[in-house]
Amino acid sequence: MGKNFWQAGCLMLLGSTATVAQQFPPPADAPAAGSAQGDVSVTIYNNDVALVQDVRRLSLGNGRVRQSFPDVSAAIRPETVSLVVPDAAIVEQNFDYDLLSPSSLMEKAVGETITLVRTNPATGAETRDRAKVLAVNGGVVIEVNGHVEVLRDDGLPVRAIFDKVPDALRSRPTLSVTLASSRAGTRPATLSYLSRGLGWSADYVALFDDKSGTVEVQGWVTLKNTSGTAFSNAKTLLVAGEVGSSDDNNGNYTPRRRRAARSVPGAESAAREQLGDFYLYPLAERTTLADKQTKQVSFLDAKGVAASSGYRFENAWLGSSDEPRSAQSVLSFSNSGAAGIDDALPAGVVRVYIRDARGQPQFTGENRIEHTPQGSTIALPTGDAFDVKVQPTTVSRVRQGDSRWRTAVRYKLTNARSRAVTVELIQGGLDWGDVRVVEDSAKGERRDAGTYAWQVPVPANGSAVVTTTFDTRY
Amino acid sequence: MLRQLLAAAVLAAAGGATPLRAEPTTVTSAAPDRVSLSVYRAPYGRGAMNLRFLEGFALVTEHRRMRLPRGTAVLRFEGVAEGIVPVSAVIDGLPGGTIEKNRDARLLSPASLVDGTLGRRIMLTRTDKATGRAVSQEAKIVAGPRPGVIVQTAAGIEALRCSGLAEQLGYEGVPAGLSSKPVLSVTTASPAAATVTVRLTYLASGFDWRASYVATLALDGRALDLFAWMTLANGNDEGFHQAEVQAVAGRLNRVAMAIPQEASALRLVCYPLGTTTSDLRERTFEPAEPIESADQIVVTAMRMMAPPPPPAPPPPPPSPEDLGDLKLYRIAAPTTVAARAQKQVALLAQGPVPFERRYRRPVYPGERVDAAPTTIVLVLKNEKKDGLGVPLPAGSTALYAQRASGRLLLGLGVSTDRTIGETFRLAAGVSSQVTVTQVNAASREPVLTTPTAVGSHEAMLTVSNANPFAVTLDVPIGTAGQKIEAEGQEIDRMDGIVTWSPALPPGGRAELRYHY
Repeated sequence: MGKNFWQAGCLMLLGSTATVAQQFPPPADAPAAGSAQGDVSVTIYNNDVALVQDVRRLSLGNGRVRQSFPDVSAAIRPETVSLVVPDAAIVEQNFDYDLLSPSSLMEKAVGETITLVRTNPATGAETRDRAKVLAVNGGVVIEVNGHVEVLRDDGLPVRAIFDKVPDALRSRPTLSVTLASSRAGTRPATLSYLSRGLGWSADYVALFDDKSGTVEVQGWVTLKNTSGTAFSNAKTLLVAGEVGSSDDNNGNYTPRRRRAARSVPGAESAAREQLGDFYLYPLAERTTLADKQTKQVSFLDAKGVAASSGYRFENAWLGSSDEPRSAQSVLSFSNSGAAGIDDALPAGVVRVYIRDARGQPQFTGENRIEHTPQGSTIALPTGDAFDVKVQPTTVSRVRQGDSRWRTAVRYKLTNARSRAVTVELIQGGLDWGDVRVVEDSAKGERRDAGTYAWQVPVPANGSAVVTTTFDTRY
Repeated sequence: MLRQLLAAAVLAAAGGATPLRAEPTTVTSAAPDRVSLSVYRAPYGRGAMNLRFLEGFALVTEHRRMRLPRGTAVLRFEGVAEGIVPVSAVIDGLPGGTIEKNRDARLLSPASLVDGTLGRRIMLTRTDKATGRAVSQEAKIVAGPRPGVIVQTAAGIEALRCSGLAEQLGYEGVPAGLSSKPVLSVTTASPAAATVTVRLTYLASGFDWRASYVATLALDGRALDLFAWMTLANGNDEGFHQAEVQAVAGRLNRVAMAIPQEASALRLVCYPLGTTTSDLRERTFEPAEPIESADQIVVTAMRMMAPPPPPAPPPPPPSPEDLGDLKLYRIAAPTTVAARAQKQVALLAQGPVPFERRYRRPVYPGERVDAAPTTIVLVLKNEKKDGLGVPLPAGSTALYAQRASGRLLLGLGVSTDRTIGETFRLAAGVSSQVTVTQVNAASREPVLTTPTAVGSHEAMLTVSNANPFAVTLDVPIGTAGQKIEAEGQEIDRMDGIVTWSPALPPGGRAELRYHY
């Protein structure tokens, strides 16, 4: 792109013949029926970036020609445009966004002469005058037959008719390129640019069967086109990954933080085409991406994937509650080859369904996953359990010295279900100071400086109690 | 001009050079044959629902009979709920599977008509306001719809409706791809022509439900009857006729979704039309008549002078089934959920349920409390042996007393999800008869430790009961785990908080001195 431009600049400096204004036909931006797009390929990334390649057949004359490109994305990033035309070099690229509107039309007519058609409100008789527009500042001041007046000062109907549309005004933002063509003739031109307003994510439907401990996972890629432009019959490629975007270009692009769903990242390679670290999801057939359309295409259908449901409760430091609080319901499964999904999972929303007593799938919650490499274990919180609750209680806080406390905590776990469950009980917030567990009634595990975790079995229609004492120094 | 047209023609030809595929047949399904609706509560909703802004949602399962042709076809689904979350749509039962699913949201509106007709011929009609004579002429839309519309007529270039004349645009037809509502469609390729039943499942916003508990104290005041309505609301424009309706209790995790954009109106902006008098200050006057609000709700029922006893409610549905970690309530018979309507069906009926009446006022050490009133709570154990033992989903509570002269409202409150074995609390109002007073007492002994040390402060609590009956009061002091030393008596901790629970006889009074 840069090279092309410099070549073009050199060509211009070397200076062929002086160009005449007439050799620049005004850009053909009057939208015709149907689209002016050619053979379109769209590559869509996750973070509101898409690469559009559009191969159009252009009929060019010899010498300096101006060519406009209607029907490019309305959300184009004009600074990223590059054009490759055989036997032609680019002299300059313009992106005109001075739009045609009643105000801009009148402003451009300052100093010009327009036609006024006055209508007599009583008789309907029309009289015509030629008027010169003197100024458009808050109102339109005109000169008619040697008098100066304000347009429609009396509120009576007056049609202002302009002779032509000024060349500089466009009905849509328009990309136009001036080319130095070395031969006349029709040839393909490859236009490529980045656009906003095109994005994709994944949507998963996970049907969980508690009895067999399996989940059926369907994956859909969801494309959204809010660019304001339709791309018809486009070759479409989706890239699972984020390219550093120029919007936050301070040289320190940091990937976003992971959200509530937790996963143990895997180390398997999926049998997908890869581009560097990104996985590619090409659509099998050409498709039309209409404006304001959401399109979904299946990419994954896995049955009999081993899965389990569990419970998790995390208590904040000194979290104490006067009533039991629900534990999270967590669905865990793996996308390893052995477990059944056998694919990397692009970021998206997983919706979990369970069949009711009549066999109809019912929704039981959803959560977002990030890009997940193959072989990962995913723990997806889907909601709060109705029947499994935990009541944390700070039993005592005893001062041991200037900056030392001994804190006794009791957790009462209750289970109103008719089968035994195991709750992953986590005490968080232990990394404020030097915190040690002096004693605990069940064997726990210090996961990291901040958390201490227990796996607590709770019998059916029963309860369990865990007590622990922390020794804290600040 | 000619050159422009020529260039456009060349470009159009270039666009047409790409191979065109045969247009697939479109099969439209106007409405579902059978529909099932599972309504989910707003995850953090409390108390009553706001019918104008329902934050819950529903899972809609529709069965539609559709005739599929052989080969590639586009199936359009009409009459889906307005609040559909399009990415959640799942379609089963297609023999040829789903090639792609689309949701098109280019809506037909005044602005999109101009947008879709840009560059094409329209009919511009001017009507003479004096004579009513209409003059039509051909015109072409040159620019629009934002911020104004420019047309090209035989006379030249004009801005629409800036002249003060009555001007009207007439279009040949609706531009392709515009529809009145967003349209959900799937592309499928059937191996043979067939009539199939397609199941369409999707999540839709604009629904909600609550349990509305009505507790009635028996005449003797010792037990109560607990009844609950399932209050469902549908804020969508679509009604669901004779639907299987379920309600799901429990809190689900949801992911925030983008809010769909509105179809746009046509806003015409003209060139500046200020006149020689338009900069004068505008004066406003009081309106002659008060503006009447249109938000009046008409209750279509009549209240008799002596209200008859409430009719026996219909039998409640059987106890809910477990749906994973949620509870699913099924309405036994198919029912119609109308558009923009609230509906109530019986959820449960239990009774008689014994209860304990407690008064409560938490205090903090050091806080000055001056004869503060106490809240009254009826405490129910959600156990089989105590007449309950059913899941109690979150909702609002209303407590009534049955008296010889009629019903009397005692208290209104809210409740969260309560499962079997938990405590269910019914708000029963506020008592000014039972009061709590706390003062900071001067220490009677010389202070031995530093003034900031635990136990160096002293407070005095006084409670009194002006009722002609005995009451039990709970006064939790401070926070969980806090060290509170009562003088002369042993006080238990309740949920980690030191809680003084004196039993007060009629007209009784009690005192507690404590260190903190």
